[in-house]
Formats: sequence, C-alpha cells, structure tokens
Amino acid sequence: MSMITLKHLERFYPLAKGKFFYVLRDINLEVNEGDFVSIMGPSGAGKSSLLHVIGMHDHAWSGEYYFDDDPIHSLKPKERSTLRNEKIGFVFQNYHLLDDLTVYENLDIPLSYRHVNKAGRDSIVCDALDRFHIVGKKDLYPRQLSGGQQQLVSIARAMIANPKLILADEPTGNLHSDQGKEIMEMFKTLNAGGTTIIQVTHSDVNAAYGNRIIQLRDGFVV
Amino acid sequence: MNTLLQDIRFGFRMLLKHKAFTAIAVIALGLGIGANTAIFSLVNGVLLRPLSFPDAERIIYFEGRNPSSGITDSNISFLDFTDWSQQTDLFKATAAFWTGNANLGADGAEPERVPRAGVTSGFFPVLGVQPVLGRTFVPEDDKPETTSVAIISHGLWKRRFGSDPAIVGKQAQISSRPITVIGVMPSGFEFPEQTQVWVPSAVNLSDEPRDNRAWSAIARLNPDVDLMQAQTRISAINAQLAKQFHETNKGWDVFLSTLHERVVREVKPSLLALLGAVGFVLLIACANVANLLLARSAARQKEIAIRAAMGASQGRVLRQMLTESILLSAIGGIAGLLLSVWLTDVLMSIVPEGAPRLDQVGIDYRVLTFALGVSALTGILFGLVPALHASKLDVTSALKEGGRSAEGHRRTSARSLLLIGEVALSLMLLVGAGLLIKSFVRLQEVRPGFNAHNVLIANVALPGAKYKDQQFVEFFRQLKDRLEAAPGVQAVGGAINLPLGASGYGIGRGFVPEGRPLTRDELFDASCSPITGDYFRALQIPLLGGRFFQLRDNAEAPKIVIINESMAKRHFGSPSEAIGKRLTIWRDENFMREIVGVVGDTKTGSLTGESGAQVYVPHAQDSQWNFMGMVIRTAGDPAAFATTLRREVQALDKDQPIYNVRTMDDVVMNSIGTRRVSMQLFTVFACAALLLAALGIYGVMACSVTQRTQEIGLRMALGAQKSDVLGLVIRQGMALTVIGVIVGLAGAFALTRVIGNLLYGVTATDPATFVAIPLVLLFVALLACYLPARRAARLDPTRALAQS
Repeated sequence: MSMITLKHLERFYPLAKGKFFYVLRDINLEVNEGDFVSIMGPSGAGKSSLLHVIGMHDHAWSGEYYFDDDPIHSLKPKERSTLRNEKIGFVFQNYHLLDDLTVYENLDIPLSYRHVNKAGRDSIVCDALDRFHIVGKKDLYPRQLSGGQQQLVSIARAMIANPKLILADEPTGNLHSDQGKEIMEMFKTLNAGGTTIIQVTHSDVNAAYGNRIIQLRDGFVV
Repeated sequence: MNTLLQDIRFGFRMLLKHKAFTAIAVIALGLGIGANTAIFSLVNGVLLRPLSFPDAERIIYFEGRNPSSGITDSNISFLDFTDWSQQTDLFKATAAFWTGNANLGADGAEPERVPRAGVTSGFFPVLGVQPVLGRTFVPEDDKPETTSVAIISHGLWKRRFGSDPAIVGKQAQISSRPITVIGVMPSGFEFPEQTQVWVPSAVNLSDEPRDNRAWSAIARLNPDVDLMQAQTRISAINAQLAKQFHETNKGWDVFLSTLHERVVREVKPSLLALLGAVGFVLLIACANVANLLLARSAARQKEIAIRAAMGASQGRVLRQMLTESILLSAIGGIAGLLLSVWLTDVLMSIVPEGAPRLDQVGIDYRVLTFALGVSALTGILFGLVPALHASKLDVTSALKEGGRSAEGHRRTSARSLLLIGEVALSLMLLVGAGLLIKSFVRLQEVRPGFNAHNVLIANVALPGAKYKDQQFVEFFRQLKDRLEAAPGVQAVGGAINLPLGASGYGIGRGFVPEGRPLTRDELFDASCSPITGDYFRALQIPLLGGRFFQLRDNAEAPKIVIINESMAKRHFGSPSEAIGKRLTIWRDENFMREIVGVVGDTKTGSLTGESGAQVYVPHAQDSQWNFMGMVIRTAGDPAAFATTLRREVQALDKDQPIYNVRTMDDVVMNSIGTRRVSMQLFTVFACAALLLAALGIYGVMACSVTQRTQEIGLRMALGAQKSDVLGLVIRQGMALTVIGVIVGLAGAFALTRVIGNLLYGVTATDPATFVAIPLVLLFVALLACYLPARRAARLDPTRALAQS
C-alpha cells in the first residue's frame, strides 16, 4: 500500500531578474509502507532537499504530495507539523543531538513537544534506553559519547514517538565502517519491524540494505 | 507546568554555561533596574504615597492668585476665608493657619527655638487627626482672648517634657509666656513644616484687614463634592468679593489643589524627568542585552533547528527563549533591587535640604512591585526580538550540511535597528545633560549681589512678652557690639529679609514716592526690611551712592531709608538722582522717609529670580520687629563661630535660643540644590548611556567583522588595502550611528521641553548644545568602530578564506 505519493513535485529558488534555480524538477514517485528506500546521486542532485520536502520541513514546493492518502499539498504548515510529529522521525548525518541536554533529556524532548505527560514520557524513554542498550549512558552529554553512540541515540530519538516513517540523511557519513555497519543493521531491524525507511546515501554498501534505490540527477529522478 | 520547569531548568543551564555573557548581562540589567528602582522609590515616597491623613485626597489647599498683577502662590486673607467657610455644602471642615516660631526656655534646659503654628479650631478636624493626650481646639478657642493654651507635638513631649503622662493641664513657658498644654499630638504629626507647638489663631475679626494676606488655608471636601465644583463656586464667590471690596479684592482669586499636590509641586517635574531619564538608560541596557542575545542566537541556530525538527512549535521555541530572557532579567532584577537599597541611600544623601516627604521614601510593596514589573518587562523587551528571530528560523537551511543561512541578514537588520535605537536614546539623554550642565554653569555665574564666603547666619527671635520696641533694638545693638569684640569677627549686622530667603522670613510692603497721591493705584510693592548693625558691610553689599545707616539714625532722628539700585533706576532715574528723594511706606506709615543711600541689588528669593525693589529702614526707626537674621562676617571658617554667637546671645539672655544656624555658602548651594542634583543625576545617566551605546556599537561591529571574515578575506585577496578594509567597517558603523543621531536629535527637540523649567539662561533647544553633543557622540562612536575595524584590517586573507 502506498504511503507516500509525489506527483509533479518541484522545488525552486527565485533568482534575480525573474529567473529560478530548480532543485527538484517534476518528481513523481511512490513509496510503499514497509519499504527501505535509498536515494542516491551526485552532490547537488537534490537528495537532501527531497528528504526535507518528504519530511515536511520544507514548505516552498509545488505539485502534489500524499502521505497515507492525506493531501499534504493542501495542508497548512501547522497541520503538516502535527502530521509530521505523529508519523515521521529524522536521523541526521551530524546526529544533531542537543549538546546541553543529557541522553535521557534528548530522548525526552520530542515527547515533551508532543504534549505527553511526565509519567508517560518517563516510561517511553526508559523503554527506548533499554531497547537500544544505552541505559548506562542516560546521564551523559553528547560530547561524552563516541560518534556511533551519538548516532544510536539519534536513532532512538527518531523512534521515540513510534513513527511510521524514518528519514535518514547520510546516517553513517561521519562514522567509520564498523560503526556504520552497526547503524545500518539497526535500520534493517527497524524495517523488519514494520518501519518504512528512506535514506539518502552515497554508499552502495548502505544502499544494499534497502529494497529499492531512487537515483536523482540535477533535480530529476532518473 | 512541567514543560515550563523544563524550560527554566534548561535556561539556568545555558546561563551557567555562558558565564561571561551572563555576568555582563546581569551587570548591565542590574545597574539599569537598580537605578530605576532607586529613582522610583523616591517618586513613590514623595509623589505616590498618600499623605498620612485619613482620606487625604479630600483635603485641599487654597493658593492665592492675582493674575492681573502677576501674583501666584500667595497667602490668603482671613476675612475671605470666613466667607468661603460658609459654604458648608462644599466643605466638611475648614481651617486657616499661620506659621512662625516660638522660644522654649526658662525651664532649666537649653533654650530652643521651635516651629509654631497658629490655627483655627477646624485645623485638626480637616486633617482628621486626634490627639493621644488631652484635646484639640474647639470653636471657643478661636476667640481673640484665648492665647494661653497650646497643643504640643509627640516629639517635643518626649524630648522636652520627658513623656510626662500628666502633661495635660500643666504650664510651660513658650516665648516667655505661661501656656497651658491641653493636648499632645500623635507621633509623626508635625504639620505644617515640622510644627512642634500649635496655638489658637486668636484673630480679632473687627481689627483684621481684608487685605492682610498672611494666612494659609485648608479644607476637607464633603464626600459628594469634587475639586472642580469647589473651584467653580469659590471663584464665583471671589468675583463677588472683588465687586464688593474693590480696593482690597480686585483681581484676587484662589486656586484649589489637593494638599498632596501642593506639598510636592516644586519637586514633581524634576522627579518625573529623572524617572524618564533613568528609564532611557534601562532601554539602552535592554538593547545592548538584546544585541548580545542576537549574536548568541547565531550560535544557537542549529539547536533551534533541531528542536523544530523534533517537533517544537514556533510558540514553544518562543516560550523557551523568553523564559531564558526572563530568567536573566530576574537575576538582574534581584541584583538591581539589592543595588537600589544602596542607591536610594546615596540619593537621599544628595537630595537638597527641605525637599518634601523624604521620610516616606523606602522599600514598600509598590517599590517591590515596580522592581518585579520592570524585571519582567525588561526580560520581555530584550528577549522578544531574539526570540521571534529564533522561532521563525528556516529549519531546512539550518540543518543542511554546509548550508548558508539567510537568517544572518535578518539578524543583522534587527541588530542595526537596535543599535540605532540605542544611539538615539543616548543622544537624547546627553543633550538633556548638556543643557542642564550649561544651565548650571550659567546659574553659578549669576552674581547674587553679596559675598557669601566666610559668613555665618542665624535667626534670633525675641519674645514679645519679655521685650518691647526699643528693647528689641537695644538687644541687637548690644549683641552686635559683643560679637564684634570676639576674635576673628570682621563685621556684624542683621536684617529680617536676608538674601535668598535665608532667614525664612520676608516682609513686603508698598511704598509711594513723594508727590504722588496716596492711593492703591499709586502703590509700588517692595521687599522692605529693618536692618541693624553693619549689615551691608557684613554681606559686602556695595554702596552705590549716599551713605549707610549710622548710630545717630535712631528713633528721634529724621526718618530715612536706603534703597537698591533697581528701585533707584526705575523710580528715580539713577542712584545719584534718588539720593535726597522721599517716599512713604503706605499704609503702615503716614510720614515721608528720605533716601540717604543706594546699594547694589541682591537676590531676594532665588538666584534665578529678579531682585525687584528693595527698601531698608533702620531698626531703631521701625522697632516693632522682634526678629533678626544675624549676619557675621568672619576671618576664618564661619561654622566655627556658631558657639561664639550662641554664647553671646545667652550672655544677654540665658533663655534666648538661636536657630537656623548656617553658613551663607550653604544657603547659596541649597538655593540651587534641586537643579544641582538634577544636573548631576542626568549627567551620570547620560554617561552611563554613552558607555552602553559605545559598547553596543563595538559589539555590533565586532560581530559584523566576524560574520564578514570570508568576505573581507576575499576583498583583500582581490587587492583591497588595509585602509580600504578600515574604511569599509568604519563606514558601516558610522552610517548606523549617524542615523541614530538624526533620530535622537528629533527626539531631543521634542523631549527637552520636559526639562525646560529646570533650565536657566539656556533654551530647551540651545543650538550650541544640539551641535556639540552629536559631535561628541560621533567621536565616541568612531573610537568604538575603530577597534573592530583594525582587527578586520589585520586579517590574514588566506586564513579568512579557508574559514567556513
């Protein structure tokens, strides 16, 4: 069943004298529930831009976008934010943990933004710490963790609200190969559990973990 | 609530993480909030706290005015007062009173001069005050023969009578007359003017002239009457009285105000101007902290973007940023409140003597609420712009690897606007301070007409029960002789009207030059003072023609006067032409006096006032006056001669006190006290504002240089010289400063009128000040721009270009 459908989606930036710079052009694609999709292509192809559009961070695009049959293109930014909070989790290349919060607090904060009460948050965070085997790290700050550990926490944070879809932007880009393998194995496990995953990657090794590859070049799907 | 606690916890963590920033911000805010709270505690005590009488806002004061004669702030006529008092539908109670002094002595203790008031029986009912012992006056006490009873203050009862519980009914010697004490007032009650003894007014209505405007009057309005209604009715009555008593009441009316308003009228404009000025300083401090936060927000872009990506709504981000700001301002507020306690003490030590209601100044709930409110408002003010910035972040751009953010431009615009605001506010304060300084310098150049240095003054008031007429004259003559014999004394004299109102008394009379009809229309007003001894020599008032008074000018000698230069020129053409002319002091005397001398003008009321016509008569030829403001010129420090004066007075009469002992230098300083304090405080605030603005300019330019490092490196790689880079940075900073100066000048033109009444010899739009101050500010701004510009010019292009 199709989770994500994009039709004639375009993203551009206005330049001087009425000209435009296209980042994404006439994107048409579908992603089914349970897919593990890898978006690949050279630098500047529009991979991260596509990910941010799908993730509803970016609102300056045109075309049609359906998520679970909801017409995202018709929703207001605030409605998109609500939907995103319910259904999507993000993993970034630079982990993007909050440096001044402990591991526990980094996991707690997305739940706080979703108005989960304290008792509920405590329970969910404890489960996540256990599931990802990072209970012993809960009071540490990100600067006290290795890259791999930080990315693990980042994935745990992305999963904390039980999203249907995980978007990962070069999740192993700043890790060495052993750590990267560990992370990809984690993604595979999550996908096996029913979570749809879309990753941006330059690595064929990482792409091999998925069941589908989308190639982007100069803003087009090729 | 739980998420708010999260934000507070995180806010504390961030403040602790950035200790230097937190310290700078807390110091800036603490100084701003502390100064505002200190000034507000002054405003609160003097202007806002009601008078300590029940329903004090219902008590009104009658101020005499005659607009056609240019007279304001005059006392009122007792007979007019009796007419107003008949309006019982307006007033629940009315009272008239006069103020003076009384000698306490003859009881073995040190003789003492205390303030005294003669009041009608309605006085205490108007104020709503009950005695703690005995009774107050009743209508029977208003009869002219009732002069042997008195009510005393709590302080006097304690100090002079040992808190005797049986004081009521006992006798005391007041001004050498036996007086029966009938009541003791509660602690703290000393209205009016620190009065210690209240006596009945004892007015003989049949003898009281209608134009004897020597009284003050108050009343308590009925509950359903407002001030406007009372004013309308009383003015109508006065119009009627003017028709009925044309000669005495023509043009006279009264202005009604609340008693509170009357008490604080003189100081209200200064206090409000100071509150405005210190508010400006706080706004500038807020702009500085806001700029610091904006600079920090550049480093926090990633954090905000992550939070947004994790699901934080714009409102939630805004709340978090504002929580941090309010936390910062709360810490600044606590520091400010502590600082304000000390600052208030400092303010109280420099406030001029005689300023009203200083006993009411302190930290109360209003001041605490003000501090709390200012802290919260400050936090919102300086936090709002950075918080709004942060909440509207473009998440995608901020999260992208190596992405350049468009936020930099918006942030730069906000910082520029804040800087322009800071410069504008600083300029307004600096112009205000500049005007006040120039005005004060002009004031100090005013020649008072006498030499105030090395002069001791003190009041001596002889009791009428003990001395009469020529006995007054003889006492002061003997006192002069005894003082002149003391080592270090150069000259001794006395007058009732001392310059600058130093004696606290002033006699004004009318005179008519010889040959003119003795009618009211021919009457000229003059300050008219009996003098004794070598008064003019003691104050070094120059003789411009004729001669001084001499010993031979006694009661049997031909009647004479000395007049001042202004009066001689106005009425007789010149000092030399005035000598030998004659005038009569009408209607007190029915004979001519010859002008035997002309002396220089002296300032009677204030340094800024006109001298007016001044007439001096020998005390021996106008001997009814029991009081003299003694003037002693000394070789050394005049304050050291107070003991000598007291000793010589008490050698003549052991029960005779002296009071109001001061040096003439102190009198001159005090006469410009309010202006001096306003000038000093404004200058302090303006300097603080200039420093904050300079720091703000430096901060903005330093941040700009950091942000433009790559650009500058590129320019240098393309051929820009050090001087080109210097010019680039300085031009950016000075452009903002110039805009701020233009906005500030416009604001200054509008706002300096507020301090117009504090200025002397300078207009509120003085061109020299409006040119000089911007130049000073521009110079300081140039210095503030130079340091970051120099840093930019020293950048290594290679390293700058490598920086991402």
